[in-house]
Amino acid sequence: MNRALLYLWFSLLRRKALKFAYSLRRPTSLVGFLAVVSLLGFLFYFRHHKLMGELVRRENLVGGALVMLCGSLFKGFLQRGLECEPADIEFLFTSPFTQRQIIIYRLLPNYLFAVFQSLVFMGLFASHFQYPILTALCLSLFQVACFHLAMAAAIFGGAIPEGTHYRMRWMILGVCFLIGASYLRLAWGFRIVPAFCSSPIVQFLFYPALTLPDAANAIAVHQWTLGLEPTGAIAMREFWLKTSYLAGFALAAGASLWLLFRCKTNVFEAALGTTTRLAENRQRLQQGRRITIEKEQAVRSVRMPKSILFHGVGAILWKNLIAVRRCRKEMMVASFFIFCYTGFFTALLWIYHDLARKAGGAPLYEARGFTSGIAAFLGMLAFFLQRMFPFDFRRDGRHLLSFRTLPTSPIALTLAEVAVPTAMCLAAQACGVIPLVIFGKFDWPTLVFIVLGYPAVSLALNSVWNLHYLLAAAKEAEGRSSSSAVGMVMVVALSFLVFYPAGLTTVKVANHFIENQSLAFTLAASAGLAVQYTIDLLLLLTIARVFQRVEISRDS
Amino acid sequence: MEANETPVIQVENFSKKYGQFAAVSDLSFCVRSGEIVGLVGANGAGKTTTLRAITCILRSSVGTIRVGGYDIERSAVEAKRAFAYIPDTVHPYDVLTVTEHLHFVALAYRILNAESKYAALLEELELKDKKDAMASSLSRGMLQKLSLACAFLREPRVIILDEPLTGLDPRGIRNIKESIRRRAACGTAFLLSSHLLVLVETLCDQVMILHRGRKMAFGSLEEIRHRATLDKDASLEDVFFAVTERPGESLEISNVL
Repeated sequence: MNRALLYLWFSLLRRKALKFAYSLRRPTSLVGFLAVVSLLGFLFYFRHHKLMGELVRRENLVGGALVMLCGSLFKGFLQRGLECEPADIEFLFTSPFTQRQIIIYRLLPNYLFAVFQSLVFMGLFASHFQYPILTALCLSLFQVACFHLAMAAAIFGGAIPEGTHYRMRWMILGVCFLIGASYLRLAWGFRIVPAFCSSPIVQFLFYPALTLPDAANAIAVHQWTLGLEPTGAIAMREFWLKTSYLAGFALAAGASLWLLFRCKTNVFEAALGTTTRLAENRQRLQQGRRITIEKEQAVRSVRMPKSILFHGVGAILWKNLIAVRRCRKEMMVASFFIFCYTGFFTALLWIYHDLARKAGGAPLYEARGFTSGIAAFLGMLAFFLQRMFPFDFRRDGRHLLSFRTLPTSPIALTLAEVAVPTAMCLAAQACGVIPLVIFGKFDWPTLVFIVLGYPAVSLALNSVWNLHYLLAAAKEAEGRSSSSAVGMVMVVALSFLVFYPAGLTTVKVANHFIENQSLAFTLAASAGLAVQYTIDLLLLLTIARVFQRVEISRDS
Repeated sequence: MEANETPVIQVENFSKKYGQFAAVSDLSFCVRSGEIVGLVGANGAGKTTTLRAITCILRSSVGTIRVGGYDIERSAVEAKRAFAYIPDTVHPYDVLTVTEHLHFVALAYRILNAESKYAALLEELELKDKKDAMASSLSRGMLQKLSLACAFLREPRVIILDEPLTGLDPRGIRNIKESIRRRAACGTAFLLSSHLLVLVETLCDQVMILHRGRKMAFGSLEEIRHRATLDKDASLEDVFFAVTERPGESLEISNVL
């Protein structure tokens, strides 16, 4: 390892650690950090629980290892070339470092991650293993081998023509699927491959390729496995078993590194393209834009709308609707997700309704509990969909400068930005709410509560996320890094907390009027809705205030 | 055409601080209808800060700014109707076409019969062939032209440009300069910031030199030359270095509020 590269790595690591520690003085970062620490603390507190032991059963460990292995291979291959920091291209690629030195330099953070991951694993699951240190060491070596394979796949993927790469990635995916199917069948007894696929007729189609039963029944394999049978004393067997585990994983790590160094292709050219492409993709994703850059295409410009709704600040609404229209692929993915999500709950409702009808009707409290649960899950749909509909400040964050010069009031602009994703979330929820209303047979107050409740939820979620997008865009316009994982954790936490006051009010009011159940429900629901709409309004006003007041520019 | 006496931009004692750092200090000037005012200065002199404060993007720490007669703090919406701003880096809406960008501006600013002006504008800015092209497919120069088209469509009282000729080819530069002159002759005021001193020298009626956030000179090039006791053939570059290398001495000629 070159000393200069080692120095660079240590310096960057130290600077990043200091930067992270320094960022904890900000409340948002501190809350996010504490949330992660709390989660780890929670898991550590319950580390002796039976459930934690279930997580590290042999089947689960094998499954996890397969996911890591196949995931690394596929991710690396898809990456097509070594991913570096943009600065690496400028400084390292033109400096007198060998290819191997640069590969090792890029692997150093991965090694550190592997060690850290194993320590956390050991801390959480040590009590469920007979030899926790040995297990942690093996995990660490296995993770290292996965990193080596991922990098080798990335380098190999970058060296082959695009057409070949396209074909090979489907082949790899096919192999991963077969491995997954075999694992599910062997470990859990799931048969996701239909039985007819193993029939002699289907096998005949693959002739003369080797079939799995052929491989498993081969005499050589049998002889080799018989050789693994222990014959010595128990203590020696234990020792050799442990040693063989460790040696096996170390061998895997060493062999994968050897394989990586055997790659004779020039990594620099592919790395240049990969680094630039991935950096741009990351930025585009953060800004809610499409990863695939539009090529010159002949699209017809739409006509100017005549409706007065789209005049003034409505122009932003019109622009966002055009964006929805142009993002067909993303909308199809979202529609598929909505279909699966709402379809699942509609099917559950239908099954429940059918069973209850056959049984002569379900008890009222049980039916109400069931429908309430489904109603809550449909409310959560907005949470998933918010990230799928980037037609708000997430996409428009880059246009903050020009938005500031638009002759509109900040609150009107905020409403125009939030309107499209909120409306789309509501439309998606309606796909599940309509069957819920049909099967649920609610009374009028509940129906009113449902009709008014979902907009309040969608509006709240979209407002919280838009506040985050706006602040991130303002930071980026000011030349600072836009968002971080910690910031994201904070927003997710806030997405749940924003419903706490309304929930608390509903419970308090319901408890206060517990003697009169029908009155209690109506009053509690009304109070909860009033609080939630007040919070929504406050959030919108905050966004408008932030939009108007926050510094979004700094002269160079 | 003689410059009209009505100030469309009026800046009084404007100061802007970022924390303890004063980006601009006690700046006063005005721009009248039909004038082309060039803002020059080194990096960090406060040009972009000044332009962004005038366009309501930044809030001033001290001072008053009026655009089109409206105070930008009190009547921001009315003030915003009076100007068009073209930043140094143009960010288009990548899913809209060139024509749809014009639609958007027409809708946002409630411009009547806007569509009848499209053809002439696109022709003038050499965008006619690109009218149905997605903005994401345009080159930097084309984006600059699109941004100018959106600004010209609104026919504002003043157009504020930050580095207006970045990424343009020689023909594009000439066309834009002619467009600016033609509109100035019709009464539109221009306030532009640029590092291209030759552009400012050939295009602008008035020049303002900023240095470390302070106004060092303001007036026509002849007037500044005279005050700086420079030769009458001295270029703006000579004037710029002469003025900025004499800190503390302001050479303001006209336009004192």
